[in-house]
Amino acid sequence: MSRILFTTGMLLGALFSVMHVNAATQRWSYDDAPTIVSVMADGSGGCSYVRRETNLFGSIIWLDKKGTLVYRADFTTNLPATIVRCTKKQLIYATYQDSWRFVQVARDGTATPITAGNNTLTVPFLAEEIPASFTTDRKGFFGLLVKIPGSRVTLIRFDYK
Amino acid sequence: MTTRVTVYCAILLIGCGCLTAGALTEQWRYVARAAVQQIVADGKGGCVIADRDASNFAGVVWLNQKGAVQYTAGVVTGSPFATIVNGCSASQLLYTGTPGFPMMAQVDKKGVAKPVVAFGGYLLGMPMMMPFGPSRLDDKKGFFVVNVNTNTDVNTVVRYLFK
Repeated sequence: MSRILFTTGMLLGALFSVMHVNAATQRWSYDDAPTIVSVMADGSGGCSYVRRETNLFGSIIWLDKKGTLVYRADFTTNLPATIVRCTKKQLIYATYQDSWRFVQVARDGTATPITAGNNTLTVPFLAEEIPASFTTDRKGFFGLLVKIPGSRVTLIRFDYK
Repeated sequence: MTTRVTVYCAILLIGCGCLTAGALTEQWRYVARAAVQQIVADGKGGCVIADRDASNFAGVVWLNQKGAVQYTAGVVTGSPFATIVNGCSASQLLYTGTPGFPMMAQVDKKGVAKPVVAFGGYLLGMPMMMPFGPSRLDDKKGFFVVNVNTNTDVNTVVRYLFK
């Protein structure tokens, strides 16, 4: 039954696609990740996102408006990673490895740890468990292409027109 | 003395009441079909809501700045894990439904829906990390709340102006 529904859905989707293929314009794509768990648009056409390997080890990736890599950090941990802020000028993220670590990244990719003396920095509980995604900006948006077969994920930038 | 203090306090309270009574103005309300799980303000006084009934069937309703329906999609997903509303402005709405399989749609302000297409798989508007995406409740002039009737569980979206 589920196979019939899936097939019917695919056919309807394909038909729908053919009828209205000019809705949005794909600009660029990036990555072939096992999974992407959080995307944050920078408001200017770029974005940062959190990807995870099949062993759930995380990475933070920041792309500019042309889809060019600005910064990448890979972690040997499956614990939470949270994007705090992303603009075209800076990225701030937090990740957990022994303790929460906050990092500020400049436009040239230079990463600087954020310290708070003897205090511990952390993120709200919900932000660590369920990282929020903000995927639109003034000119376009980001979508996640889940490939068939295999289910690997590619990030795609679309312009609205 | 005690009477005089009491009178002064009463006058002060009445004065405060007058000062704050006009703080918010209800502009319009919309009775939703089911429990409202997400509201995304369009930035111009309207919003889009995603509502989900007890069977997990979820729909999308786009309301303009006067609270009138300008687009509705009855059941866009039956999946309890699907994120629905991906973005909304006064000129367009983006959402991801699962009519058989996940599909992202772009709706213009006339209410015409078009799929967002990429080949080789299916598109999601944002990661499926939670059963609903983030809400944006406010804009420059006001905000939205969900009024839940505790007797009937009916959800009503209410638009307030700041003044």
